[in-house]
Amino acid sequence: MANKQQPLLQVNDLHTYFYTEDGVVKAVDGVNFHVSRGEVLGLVGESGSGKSVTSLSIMRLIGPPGKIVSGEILFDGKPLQTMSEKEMVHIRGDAVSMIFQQPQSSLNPVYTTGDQVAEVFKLHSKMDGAEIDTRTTEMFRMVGIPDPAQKVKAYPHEMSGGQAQRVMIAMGLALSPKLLIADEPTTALDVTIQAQILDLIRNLKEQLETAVILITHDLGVIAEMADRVAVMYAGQIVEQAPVETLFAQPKHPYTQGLLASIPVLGTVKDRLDAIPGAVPNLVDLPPGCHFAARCSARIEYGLDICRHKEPDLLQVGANQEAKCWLYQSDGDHVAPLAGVAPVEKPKAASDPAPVAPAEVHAQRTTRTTTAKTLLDVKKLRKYYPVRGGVMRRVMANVKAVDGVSFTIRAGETLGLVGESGCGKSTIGRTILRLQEPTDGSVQFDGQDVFSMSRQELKGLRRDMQIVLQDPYASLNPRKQIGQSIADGLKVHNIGTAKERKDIIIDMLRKVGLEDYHALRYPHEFSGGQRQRIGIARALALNPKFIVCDEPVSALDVSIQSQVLNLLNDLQDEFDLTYLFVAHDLSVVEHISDRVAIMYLGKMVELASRDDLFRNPLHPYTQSLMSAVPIPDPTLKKERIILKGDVPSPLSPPTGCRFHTRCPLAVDRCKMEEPPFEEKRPDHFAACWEVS
Amino acid sequence: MIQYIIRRLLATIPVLLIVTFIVFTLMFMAPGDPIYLLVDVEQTDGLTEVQMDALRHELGLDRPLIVQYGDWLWHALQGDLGTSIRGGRQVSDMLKSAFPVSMELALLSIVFALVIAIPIGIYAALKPNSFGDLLGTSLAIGGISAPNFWVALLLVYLFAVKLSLLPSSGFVRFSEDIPANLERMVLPVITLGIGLMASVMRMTRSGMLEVMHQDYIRTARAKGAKEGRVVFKHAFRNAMLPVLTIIGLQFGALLGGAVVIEQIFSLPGMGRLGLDAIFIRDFPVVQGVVLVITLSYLTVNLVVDLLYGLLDPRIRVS
Ligand SMILES: Nc1ncnc2c1ncn2[C@@H]1O[C@H](COP(=O)(O)OP(=O)(O)OP(=O)(O)O)[C@@H](O)[C@H]1O
Ligand code: SF4
Ligand code: SF4
Ligand SMILES: [Mg+2]
Repeated sequence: MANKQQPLLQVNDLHTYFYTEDGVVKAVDGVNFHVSRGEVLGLVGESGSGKSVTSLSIMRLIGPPGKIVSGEILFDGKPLQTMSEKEMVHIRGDAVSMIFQQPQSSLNPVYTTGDQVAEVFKLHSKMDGAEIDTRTTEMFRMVGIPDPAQKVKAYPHEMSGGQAQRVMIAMGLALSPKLLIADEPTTALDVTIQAQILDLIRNLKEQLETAVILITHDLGVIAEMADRVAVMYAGQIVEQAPVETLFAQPKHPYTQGLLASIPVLGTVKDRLDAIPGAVPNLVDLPPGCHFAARCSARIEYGLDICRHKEPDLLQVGANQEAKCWLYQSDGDHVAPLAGVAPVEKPKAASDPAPVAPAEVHAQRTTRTTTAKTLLDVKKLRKYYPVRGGVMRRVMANVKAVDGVSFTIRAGETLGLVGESGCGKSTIGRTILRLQEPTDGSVQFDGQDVFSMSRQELKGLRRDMQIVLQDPYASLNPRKQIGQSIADGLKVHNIGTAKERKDIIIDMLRKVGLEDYHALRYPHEFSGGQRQRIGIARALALNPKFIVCDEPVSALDVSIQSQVLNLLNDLQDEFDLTYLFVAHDLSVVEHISDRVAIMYLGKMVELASRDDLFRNPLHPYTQSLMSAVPIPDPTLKKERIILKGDVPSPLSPPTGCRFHTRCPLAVDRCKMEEPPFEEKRPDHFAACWEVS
Repeated sequence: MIQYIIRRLLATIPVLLIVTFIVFTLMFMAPGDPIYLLVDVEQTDGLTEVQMDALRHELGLDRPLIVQYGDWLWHALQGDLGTSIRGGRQVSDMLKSAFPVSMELALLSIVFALVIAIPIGIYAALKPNSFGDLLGTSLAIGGISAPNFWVALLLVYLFAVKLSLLPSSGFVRFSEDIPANLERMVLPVITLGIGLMASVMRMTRSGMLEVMHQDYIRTARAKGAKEGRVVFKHAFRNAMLPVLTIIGLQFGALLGGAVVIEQIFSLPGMGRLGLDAIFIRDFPVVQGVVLVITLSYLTVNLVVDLLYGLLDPRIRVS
């Protein structure tokens, strides 16, 4: 019998390598941690830091070219790393189970979801068919799938992402495992659905006394869910602490940098403290601390040892461990901070802005309210026809944007927020006429965009540019990026070849790249660098207005802050106006002067940033804001958890489109659509219950 | 479901009409007076122009093409496909005797292709770049590029001439003597099936390789499914979808190949019937053969689509 004192899972010095053509990828390079019974361990780190490989190693699911090279994985006292495959299949899905990031693609498309949950019982128990059926339906009910008896017969494609993740959870928890590994379980989901799923995991883990390893890159989710946190960087755990300690007194420079670089909902900063550089390549890592190349503390304290010798993960405080020479002595090296009273977040020291945040914000708001209107959108509609049948007739219309009006003032940033499919990106593309509108009008700088000829439109495109979410897809992979940028200039007959070259180099420098980058191809750049290239390309034409369509949502947090700061700087330098489309409320709050909220093709609220975030009027805005996990474990906020999924834009609900999920809905909401009107000065909302 | 099948069947009607009409027109536009196609030369010998006109009138050949086509169609609908010019046999009787031969050849070829290709394809996908995989892949490339007649000659030389294991020609009906029939079908079936086998092998390999990297395979493993179950329950059905499509697409090529094969092995099937009929411009027979081949092509594709729906709920018709 396993000793109740020992941790449920103990991982010692785990090394998992991938033997690829480019060399040995040391994806997990000496990882130590433990999980106690019933606790939630948050495993946080940027993309490629080795979180998934760590969890797959525990499950012994690393296939070629990968291999667990050395280390010890003790589960309930038993060493998993030496177990035979035959023994492992009895542990997987039974004592240890796992759920994944992409719920829909993680379910087999050709079997019913019920069958897939039932398979767990079939594999690990001796129950008969009837019993399995009852238990399966019971699991569906337990994870909150409506109408479980029917839904067990549904196929994965007939479910929304949120429901599919519930099925995955049902599968993972069917046999009340001792350990559940959840690898980014909510990253692919909308924030209101994420709130539902996190709530579900929290409740079920209490009920079943399951320990959880929660893997995520979202510090908000960690703060809300985890008891203890392990921070991963480049294949190693660099810091480990109880969640309150980690957020209050981060010890490792990387953790400190990470916490300072994220925008926090409700806390307006003028600038984010970005960590310079990018995550290193895991092939041929130089000796020493993996973080050395990006570490400012190393320079501040003049530590030479970091470059040639790796520190150990050692105790630095009560229950807190860090892997950093700041706290460790070795031979000649004397730890500068060892034994020193816990350092506060080095916020004040590295914050370059002497101005108080509120003041900064006030300045910006006054600047934009007096400015003239640059863009005036009236009753914009965009329907996508759905064709079907033999004759490809139009069977229905997806009403992606259904009568939206707003203005953008010169020099300001309007943030446009909503969940996936609400039509926010469509608005951006339709304004630029990258897509033809169905109805409505757009005035840009006094010109009517929708009545323009092709020729006029070309001129307009110089003034209106777009930066896209996936910078890679928008760059020609066979062209040097200098050429890609030059092409845009050539189309508009700007400059001679020589002048174009100067513009390109100028732009690359402006976005923080080097001259020689012009001769490189897109695949030679990291995600953050590609996004800089996308911005440089838009900027080269010297536009007045840029639509930023989810420009940072594919980027890691430390890179995200670099790009957000860049966008801010460029706005000031070139007097730019932005329409900033995003799904992340914290990012939008950080960058915007005014914010608009969309739901199912309609705008439901529009106000200045402060009004909107301090005093949201619309019930949807309120629930959206309460669903955002805040990276502060001491904050226990009241949550409004919305029921159900976003309805299909093919047949939106009658009356107010939000009435099917609205906690305040009254009878009138089902019949009549509320007008979008000015409820407070400069604060618009569409809701019957707001006066 | 039933509704879907009826809809699909209705949709075959225009295809059949167009195909038969094209054949009809082609036969009439071919050089020479169509009357010679319908009447034996001895009968027309020495007839005057006036008498010929009268004969044309009598046979209805002076009517507009479309009317004549309508006439053929009207009879065809009643099961009367006319009589052969040579020998005067009922076309429908000739088809009835030739069709089973071709059908047997085609179906056995498909079975042969699948039975050989799928296991090798799966093996190759599970052990990519192993010796077995390379062998399978080279076999597939060879199978795709080798011409039918060459394969046929090689097989005949090897099995019939050299080893005397199998008869090289002669034909016995399935209904008469099953073992003798099968013995004589072995070489034609291999020859015809080898191309399909190669494409199915490649499809299975690439389909399987792709499916094995899908997220849901990782889920199946994480559940504690054994590797065999992962491969055969979770991956196989998904990997078979593109294979099914290939079979539907390749069925036309299979029928084309059958024409050559039947010729080489002197099997009295549709291919041979049609080819002979074209040489002597036996118009009613050609038209009948085209009709039946088109029909079977459409039927096979309908069956493939239905099977596809059965295997893949995402495109299942409501
Ligand atoms: N099958 C593989 N072959 C080669 N390298 C791999 C393989 N799987 C993972 N890696 C490498 O291992 C490293 C760690 O990857 P891992 O998936 O664990 O990161 P992660 O922390 O989960 O990131 P994310 O947040 O993007 O999920 C990466 O450099 C990745 O490229
Ligand atoms: S060991 Fe040195 S380089 Fe690494 S985090 Fe600590 S101070 Fe920075
Ligand atoms: S109009 Fe009614 S349903 Fe819509 S948001 Fe307001 S209260 Fe809710
Ligand atoms: Mg991962």
